[in-house]
Amino acid sequence: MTEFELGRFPSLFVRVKGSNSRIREYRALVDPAYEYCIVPKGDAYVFGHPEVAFQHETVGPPNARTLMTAGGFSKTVVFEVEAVEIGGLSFEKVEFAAIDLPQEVGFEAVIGQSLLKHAVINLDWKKRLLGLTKAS
Amino acid sequence: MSGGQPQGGNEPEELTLEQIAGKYKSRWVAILVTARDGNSQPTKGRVVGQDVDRFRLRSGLMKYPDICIFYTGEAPYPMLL
Repeated sequence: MTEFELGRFPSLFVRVKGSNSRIREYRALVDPAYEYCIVPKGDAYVFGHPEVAFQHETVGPPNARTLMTAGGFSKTVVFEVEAVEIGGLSFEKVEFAAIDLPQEVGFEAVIGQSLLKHAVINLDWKKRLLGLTKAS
Repeated sequence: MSGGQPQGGNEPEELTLEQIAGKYKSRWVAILVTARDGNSQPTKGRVVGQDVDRFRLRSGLMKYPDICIFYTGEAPYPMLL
């Protein structure tokens, strides 16, 4: 189990490698309430998904999805990245949704169920530790 | 406030993440990571961009194939996402 110190929120640095081998690293929120991992729309473009900019209400791209957020419904694209590296762990072929979280939140990436379903997480609030390992 | 490249010499100086947070308070920063801890978490880097607006920051980052972006501040209110 790889352990990370908890800050105010369960968060850690993650490296996301797109299918075009471009890498973006974020301090990401870890939240199993999110069914998808999240990166900003601009980085979905960087990862080779220009369809993020094409979100016509009736004829969106085939990977368009409607999601429910705390702020209401959101229509965006869902795509697969090559890998996500967290500490010494690597998770391949993880689905991400392209969503721009409010800047005030201070996070622009979230690690959600599309990755966590392949992991075991341990939150120890008293010791301020987040443990993570790959599920067998 | 202006964004983009930090002022100074040709190559940005190597700073710890704590130094970066102190120098660029409550800003989005883009760093080239130069050191990591045992958990592969960044500990040092060279700041190649910083801005109060993360969308504006990104306009200068397309050329980097591998870059780390984070906010140096804290959410100002209790958070419910």
